[in-house]
Amino acid sequence: MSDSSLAYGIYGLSYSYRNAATSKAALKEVQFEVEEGSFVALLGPNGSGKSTLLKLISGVLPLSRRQVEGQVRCKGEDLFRLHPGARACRLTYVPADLNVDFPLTAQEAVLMGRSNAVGSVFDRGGEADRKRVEWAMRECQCWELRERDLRELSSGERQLVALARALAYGAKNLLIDESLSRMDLHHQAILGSLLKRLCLENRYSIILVAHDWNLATEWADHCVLLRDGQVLAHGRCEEVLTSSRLEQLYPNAPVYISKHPETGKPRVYFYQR
Amino acid sequence: MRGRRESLLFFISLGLFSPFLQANARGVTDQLGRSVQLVDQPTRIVATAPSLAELVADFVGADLKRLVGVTEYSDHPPRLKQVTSVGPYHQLNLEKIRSLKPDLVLATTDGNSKDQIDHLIEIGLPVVVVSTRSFEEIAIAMQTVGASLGESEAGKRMASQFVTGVQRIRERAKSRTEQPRVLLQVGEDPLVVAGGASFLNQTVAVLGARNVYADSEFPYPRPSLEDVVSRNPEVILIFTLGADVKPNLASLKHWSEMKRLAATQKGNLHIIQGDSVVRPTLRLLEGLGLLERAIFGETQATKKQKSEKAASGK
Amino acid sequence: MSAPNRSPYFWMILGLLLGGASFFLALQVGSVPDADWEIIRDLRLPRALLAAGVGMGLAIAGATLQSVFSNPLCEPYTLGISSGAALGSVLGASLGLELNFAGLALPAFVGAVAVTVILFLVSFRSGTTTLSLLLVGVMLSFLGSSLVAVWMALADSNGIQGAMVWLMGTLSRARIEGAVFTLVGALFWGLMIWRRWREMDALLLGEEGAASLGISVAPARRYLILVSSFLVGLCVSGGGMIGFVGLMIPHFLRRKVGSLHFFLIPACGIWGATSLVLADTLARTLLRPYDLPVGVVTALVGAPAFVFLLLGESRYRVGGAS
Repeated sequence: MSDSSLAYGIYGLSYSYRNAATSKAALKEVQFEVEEGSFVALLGPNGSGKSTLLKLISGVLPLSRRQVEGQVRCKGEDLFRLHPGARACRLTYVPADLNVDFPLTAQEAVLMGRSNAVGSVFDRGGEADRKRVEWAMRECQCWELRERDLRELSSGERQLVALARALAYGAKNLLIDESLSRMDLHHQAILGSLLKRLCLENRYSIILVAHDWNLATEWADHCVLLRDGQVLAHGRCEEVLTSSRLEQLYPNAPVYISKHPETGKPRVYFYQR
Repeated sequence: MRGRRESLLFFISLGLFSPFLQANARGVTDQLGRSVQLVDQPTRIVATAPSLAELVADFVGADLKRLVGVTEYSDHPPRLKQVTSVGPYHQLNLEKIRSLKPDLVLATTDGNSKDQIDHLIEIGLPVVVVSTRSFEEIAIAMQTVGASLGESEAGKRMASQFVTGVQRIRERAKSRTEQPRVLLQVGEDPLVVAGGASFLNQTVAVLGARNVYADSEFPYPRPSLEDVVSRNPEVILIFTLGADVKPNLASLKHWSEMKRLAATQKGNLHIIQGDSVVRPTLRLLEGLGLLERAIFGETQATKKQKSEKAASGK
Repeated sequence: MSAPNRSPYFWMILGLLLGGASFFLALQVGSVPDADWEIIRDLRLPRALLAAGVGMGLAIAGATLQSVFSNPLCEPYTLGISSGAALGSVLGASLGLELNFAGLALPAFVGAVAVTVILFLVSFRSGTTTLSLLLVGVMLSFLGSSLVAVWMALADSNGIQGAMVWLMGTLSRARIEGAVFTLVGALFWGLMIWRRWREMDALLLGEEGAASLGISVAPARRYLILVSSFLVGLCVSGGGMIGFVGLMIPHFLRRKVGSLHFFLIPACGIWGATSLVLADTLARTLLRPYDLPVGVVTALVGAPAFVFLLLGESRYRVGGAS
């Protein structure tokens, strides 16, 4: 794990809500590193702070010095010192859904991902940008949807567009927040292979939050377990996902772990006694 | 004694005023203190309120062609109905006024809003503004309008006629001992009365009666019935401004059912045709007479009747 | 059903042509059949210029507010910002703050900002829906209008009728200096808003959608809402409370020109100006010689259209903040 292959790292990150009635912190001393080309599954019960973590490090959550401690470093830069625009360039957050109340085509939504990266007021993106948009949409299997109004798409289709947008934007570190939960299996499978390919061939790094543990573990090579804002464990999936760990996470739910016959990846089953 | 001093001041101010009205070759000073350049004999006059239209009609008499524009509801004298309308007095149609190419536009602070007047002046029209908030101002207004029309002498005559008429009424008021409490009702549903800041209040004061709402700072307050009862007026005058008297009759009936009121007990409930009482013209004198008879007339008539009865020995 | 083909340049040129034609019509038509040059110059020209400026400003402000609140039902009138501006104007007038060219634009701006601060506080807490935002706007609108009426009744007993007319929006008090000032101001502030087209585009997809593209959401919103308030202050101090222009023009144009603000903002400016010039011409000539308040015309057309819009929107998801 040499430094040059490190995409970014989170060091001692703590975050508390502004109007905390109690002094419960949302994140406590979160620390782990993400290598280039790795696919990390971020797992944990509801309310454990997964979304908060992703939004915080990407700049989607507005920061205030009083609320945050710790650092996020990306290629030697302290991300919290950067302008949100610069931060989003390094770590791109992919929201779970896009709020749409206006007539907007899928292509226009993805094009926004490019036009925010370009320069002067008159620059609406040139040929290169359009090509990139096309590439992103084709990869995400939504190129056929490009002329459709976003309001008419199913939420699964919108998630494809959200992902395409992030790809078009250009950053190589994606933070995907439950973005795959509403797609049909066919699309999920295709996207899974897309994301894996981006990791392996283009050295993208991906953090994925998903409620379907087996989906996450199928694609991911690393895992981070979060409980009550604290990292319970992180590392390779096989090492992290043990019965004892999962019992700590879900004390009331019996769990059984097996290995996938072909891939050897851990598969997690919760069951009723 | 106060009345005599008042009228003296009055004549003095009239005298002082006249040089201003004749001074420059047709520069007239209006009641906002502005000096306005006018032609000798304006023949295209626009009046922006019904009261002004009436005043102009009094001056020009049969020569009504000189009046080319009046506002809606300028219906006294009736021949004004033939004159072109320039819209309602609170929303004048400036294009219409402009297209009539007036050589004199008369406006009043009692009816036209300041913004309207400003706009008329800004588009370059010769605007003379009068103010008629008190009897003194009405007299000055008469002279101002007369001077503007090129009829200064007629204006002065009208003003002195007016002043004399008012004076006579004031004298009569002084000779009376009683000062009855009067309620001046101008609206039925809801009940609206003339308060201390209204012109009606001044007319009633000139007559020597007391407006029960003279202490109100507002021109047209809306008191509750209980409040009226507590002030116990001795005379109730119901003013009507249109031909339709039905709502007024309903009011009359309503009051007559309230036996506790002094006015009801004495039978002093009257409907007054309100038009003549608010116009700043010589008709106001008639209106004052009307009011006088309504407030005091009964008592005098009854006195007369009583003395006649006594005389005939029945 | 696919999105219709967008042809922004066509619609902008069409708007300019229509705008020129309606401006010409406004100068030719009025209460008087054969108007001489003086009437046109002194009465109709200032009025047409003012209509163009106010229409432009209100339409752009409407589009901007819709982006800031990520809600297509927002506009200065329905959010109560217009009535805040009206209240500011009225109070400014009684305090004697009227300026020569700028008129009452500054006190109006202060009033508008006061309302937008309240809206900001209400809207950007979690869990606010479209419904509550609009309800607050309607309440603020009522409050503002009532306060204006009360104030004018107390201040000038002759003024109350004028106040009523002004509360419904009227351009009859147009003077050439004020009209030019309004038009130039609307162009300038419209340009200042247009420069931020990227942020407005990003905000269309909600707070997270915008932030994920690196937009600093809070500063962007603050700037846009501040400039919108200035535009509203400018327009209301010139023409009273004219409603629905800020709602209908952007809504109509989004279908033709697209939601992306690079084209939407200029298109709104052009079509906003054109439609208000036409509406004012109608207001002046529909019931000759009476001069209808132009707000009556926009309301008669706009209010049913607004209801229609509301019913149409329920086809899609409505009622949620992102």
